[in-house]
Amino acid sequence: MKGVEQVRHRGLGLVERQTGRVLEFVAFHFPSEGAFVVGWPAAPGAIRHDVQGLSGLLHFAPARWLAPSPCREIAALVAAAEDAATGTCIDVTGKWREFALIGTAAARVLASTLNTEIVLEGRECAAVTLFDCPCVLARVGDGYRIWVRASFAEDFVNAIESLCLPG
Amino acid sequence: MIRLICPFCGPRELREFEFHKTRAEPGSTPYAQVYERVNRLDDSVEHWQHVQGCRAWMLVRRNPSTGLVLETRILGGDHP
Amino acid sequence: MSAVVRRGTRLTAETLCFTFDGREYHGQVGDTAASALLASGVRTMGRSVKYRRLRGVLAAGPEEPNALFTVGSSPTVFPNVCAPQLELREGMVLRSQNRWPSLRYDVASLLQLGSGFLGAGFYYKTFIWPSWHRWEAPIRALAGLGEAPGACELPTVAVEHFSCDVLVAGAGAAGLAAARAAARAGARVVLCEREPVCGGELEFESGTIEGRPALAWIDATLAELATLSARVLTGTALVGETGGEFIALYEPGGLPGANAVYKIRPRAFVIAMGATERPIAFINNDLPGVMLLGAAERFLSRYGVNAGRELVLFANHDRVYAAATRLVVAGMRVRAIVDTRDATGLGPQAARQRTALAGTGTDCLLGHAVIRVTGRGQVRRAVIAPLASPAAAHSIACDTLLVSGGWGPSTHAGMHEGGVTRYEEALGAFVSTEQPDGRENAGAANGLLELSQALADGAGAGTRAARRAGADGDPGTAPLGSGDGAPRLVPFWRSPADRAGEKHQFIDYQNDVNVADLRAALAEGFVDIEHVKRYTALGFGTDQGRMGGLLGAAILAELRGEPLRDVGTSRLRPPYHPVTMQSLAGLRVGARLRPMRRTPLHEWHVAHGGVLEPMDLWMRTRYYRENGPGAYEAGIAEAQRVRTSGGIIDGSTLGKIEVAGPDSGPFLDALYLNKASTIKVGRSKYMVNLREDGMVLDDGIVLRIAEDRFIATTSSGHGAHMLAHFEHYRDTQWSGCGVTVTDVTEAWAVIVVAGPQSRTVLREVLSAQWRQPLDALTHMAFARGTLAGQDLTVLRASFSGELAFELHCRPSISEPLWESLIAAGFKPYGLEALDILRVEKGYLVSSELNGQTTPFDLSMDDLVKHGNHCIGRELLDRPAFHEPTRPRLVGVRAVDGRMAFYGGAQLTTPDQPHRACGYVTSSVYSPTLSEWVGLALVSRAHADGAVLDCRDPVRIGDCKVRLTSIIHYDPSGERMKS
Repeated sequence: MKGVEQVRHRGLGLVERQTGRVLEFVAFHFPSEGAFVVGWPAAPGAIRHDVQGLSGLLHFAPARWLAPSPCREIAALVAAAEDAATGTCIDVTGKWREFALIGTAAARVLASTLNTEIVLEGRECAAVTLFDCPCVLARVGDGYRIWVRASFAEDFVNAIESLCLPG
Repeated sequence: MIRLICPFCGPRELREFEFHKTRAEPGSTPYAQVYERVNRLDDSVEHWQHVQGCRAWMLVRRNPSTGLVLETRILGGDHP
Repeated sequence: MSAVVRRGTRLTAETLCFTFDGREYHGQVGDTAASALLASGVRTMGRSVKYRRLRGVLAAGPEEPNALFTVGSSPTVFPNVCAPQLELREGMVLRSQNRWPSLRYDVASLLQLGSGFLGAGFYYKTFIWPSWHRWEAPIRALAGLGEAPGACELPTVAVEHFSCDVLVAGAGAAGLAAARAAARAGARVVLCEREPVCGGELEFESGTIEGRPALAWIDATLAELATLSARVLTGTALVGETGGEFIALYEPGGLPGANAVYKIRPRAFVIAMGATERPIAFINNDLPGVMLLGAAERFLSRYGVNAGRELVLFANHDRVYAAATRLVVAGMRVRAIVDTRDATGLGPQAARQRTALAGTGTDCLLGHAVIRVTGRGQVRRAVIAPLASPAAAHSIACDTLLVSGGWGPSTHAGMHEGGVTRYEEALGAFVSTEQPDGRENAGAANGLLELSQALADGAGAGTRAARRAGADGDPGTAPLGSGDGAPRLVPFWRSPADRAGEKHQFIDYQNDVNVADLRAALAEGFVDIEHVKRYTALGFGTDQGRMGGLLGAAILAELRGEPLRDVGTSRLRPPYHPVTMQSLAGLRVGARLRPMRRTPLHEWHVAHGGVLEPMDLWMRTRYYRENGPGAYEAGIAEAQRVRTSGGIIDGSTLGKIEVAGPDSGPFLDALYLNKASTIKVGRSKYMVNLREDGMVLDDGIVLRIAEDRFIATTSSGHGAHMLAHFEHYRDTQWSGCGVTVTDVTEAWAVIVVAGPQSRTVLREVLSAQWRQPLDALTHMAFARGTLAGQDLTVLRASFSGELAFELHCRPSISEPLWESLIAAGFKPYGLEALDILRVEKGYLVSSELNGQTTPFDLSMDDLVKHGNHCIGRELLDRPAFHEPTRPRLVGVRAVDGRMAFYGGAQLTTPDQPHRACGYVTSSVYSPTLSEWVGLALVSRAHADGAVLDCRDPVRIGDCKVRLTSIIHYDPSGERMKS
């Protein structure tokens, strides 16, 4: 796993971020209004940010939440939900690799493969396929946070590196 | 490309979805469910999966003659 | 060579050189191939496909049917490039098409003598004796349009997906007015225009808009659009649409092959793509020198090229007089204007222009038509006659005939997804009425050819589009302007001709379809316009019927004796103009054709001589180079080493599904033939899935991690399918229950440690805490713990028949763990060796689990007997599954131990050599047994011990094989259970 900068040129940065434990919480029942505590991201595409402002809990699929490198607070939230028999917590460490896509060209890079405006309309995160790689995409500040399925990650980086964008 | 409205993700391109099968007629025998499928010209009820998105299974009601999608709703919820 | 520097709206004074058919010519920067050649006096630019008739340039846009050139030299050639669109560059190499050996002397033009045999659909009726195939080769050599490129480097395409509020297609008067209104109203506007500059007909039509000359108004409007953040894409043509997504291609310079592909989703859409001029059919209307009226005007205003010196104009509307006036001012001599209408047809402006022209010596005829043009290789004389008495003809000397039969609105963009049109007699064209989801046509595309109307129509459509998109600002006032007056057209499709003459009245220039062909099609019984199109090839070429489609429909209507509105036109489909495969491929080219999935150990395999092959989307190691020159030798060496001491293999592609929750046991019971809920925690079981029809779907090992948690493994090949299968079942029969399904394939790297030394090596590699669990591990049990702080599961299971352990670890420690196993003395083996090991032991893969085998065929009767109610169970109890002809899985060995046999070989008995009673599913050379062994599916009629013929006539020939038990090696399984 690389924790270094992968692609940097012409207003674009693609940086892989180290992840620790990664959890997926899967609920037994949905839609789930009322089943969870206050602050749980219940709406489709909602994100609960942690105290540092990072994406803590992402609702990227029906009844499924991604908790990448959860801080203590998020981990406790998820454990409590499991104890309450609302669902199960699956340790999927290794399944997702996290990237930050930043820079003025970041939006144009994504536009090469999908219409981000439509996909992120009314939501903070979405399960998408970018350059034929399954991903979870979140808009973060001026850039994006992308969780790529691990076996596709090399291919994802190669796709962005080989993009020939108009100058 | 034509779009389907995923009940979770919203409108997405058709290529993100995979057709599985038409829903079996209620009350049909196991043999009929496998070998005697009914193809409706006007109101086909089908199971699709949003494979390249959230992987939700959904029920799609379509008119195969015109291509018009009448309804999409999620499977697997508490109110099927 | 022209020494005069021409002036035109597209030109600069800078000159350039290019070659055409081997000769050097000069042009100016901004010239197209057609304009530079015309300026140099070249009028013949190609020959037609079928009859090889000489042709010149007819139009000044992408609808040009004749002047198609091949650009470049092999292998980087671009065939069928439209000459009026191709912007010249220094040193460009151009060639005409459809001629051999040269444009002037073409051998195949002798075909015209046999034109009687070459009418529409000739290949259905002629050249049949003695055999079509004798004629096929030479006919195919003559057919086709242009030369295909060889393997060449093409620039990669940039793709952009984006949304906007209002998309306006076409930046002529109406399009600019629409874009301006929408942008002023606050909408995000995208304006796309296929030409490199905006303006459309305003480029040559002398108009004034809002008190300014038209060209100045265009510049001011574009400047305003820039301040309103509208995006203007020039050189970008809209080629098609599906489901609300519009595809536009940026092809600069007129060379096919997009530099950029735009995929646009607008909230509202305005079609302002203008109208395409069409000719009139008369005898020899395809001679070089015959050109569309608007084309001549464009060549003049854009490139300063005179279409000819002595012109005759032939039309059925008022615009011909305005055009003639402009041509005379430019110094051309208009000998005659032939107007098919009578005197009452003219409007006051046109009447004034006509009088002025007559005063300068132009012969202005009314109620006349051009019957034919004559000349060798180009127009020399025009034969004109009154429509009332066609016999009273006279001829005029001329070198150019400009024809205009009217204009057809470019409605295609609205028609691709289904729209309704209506025939407008006043236009002689079809105008669209109903469009899907509120999109509109504006301007000439809406049948409004007058400048003032087009501007108002455009502004209105732009405003309505902005409102639909939710922008409710003030669009401003619609621009007022005036230009050429209303055309006052009276439809006229073809001049009178006798049957012989009809053969040379051309409708579709690209496919040499003439009026006689339409008549023949009708006589053959093809009545519907769609049938006539396909029988005659009308509308098949690169112009897709833009020149001849409506003309053909109108003449067909006349021949059928029905009104044109009842005949209609053929269905319009994308793409609007030819699109290269490169543009469609977009980013998916070369290495990016398909995604490639890598295991966590991929880099290690590559760095250490692993030969990887794609298996579905995964890259998997087949063998390692150090073990042999090829897969066969290396596989044998690797397999041998596993049996003697041991080895390791990367099994990370194995599908893994984590099933959790209080209901997970019963859930899995329903998915597998044998019971999962009875597996004890800490143990695993070999399980089989059935398909709903009772056939075996897949197999795998299920581990019970906890009371309410299982990991189900699937075969690598079926992984995606099984995951969807589990998810579907959970979301239908088990929705709302306490069970969840999660794909954890990539969360666990899998290293299989196999061989007699495997426990010893593992004790050495794993930390002390693992000693006792390892020693205590019985077959099919597993232990969980950590290694270097990361989760590790050690499962004792074997696919090789040796003592073996599957290590499931987090990907982050997979490489260190792998390397420590190497350091401890084990070497890696690949899929080739894996196959040898598993066939020796009779283990099954997709060759046996091929979807056509029942559990009974595969000797899984015990599993069925003790199995539970599951998917596929009901259809398992079918009499057909117990027929004596059902296959049975057996082992096979050659009677002569030195013979080889391959998977796929058919098995037959001596008394029935032409009917297979089975086939070999897998076969390998076994180093352990020193002979080829395999598995086969054979009819139950044959018991173990039977000798059958193994037939393989195409690959290695036949041999005799004996049926054996499927386990060739260590039948009691001692080695595995040690």
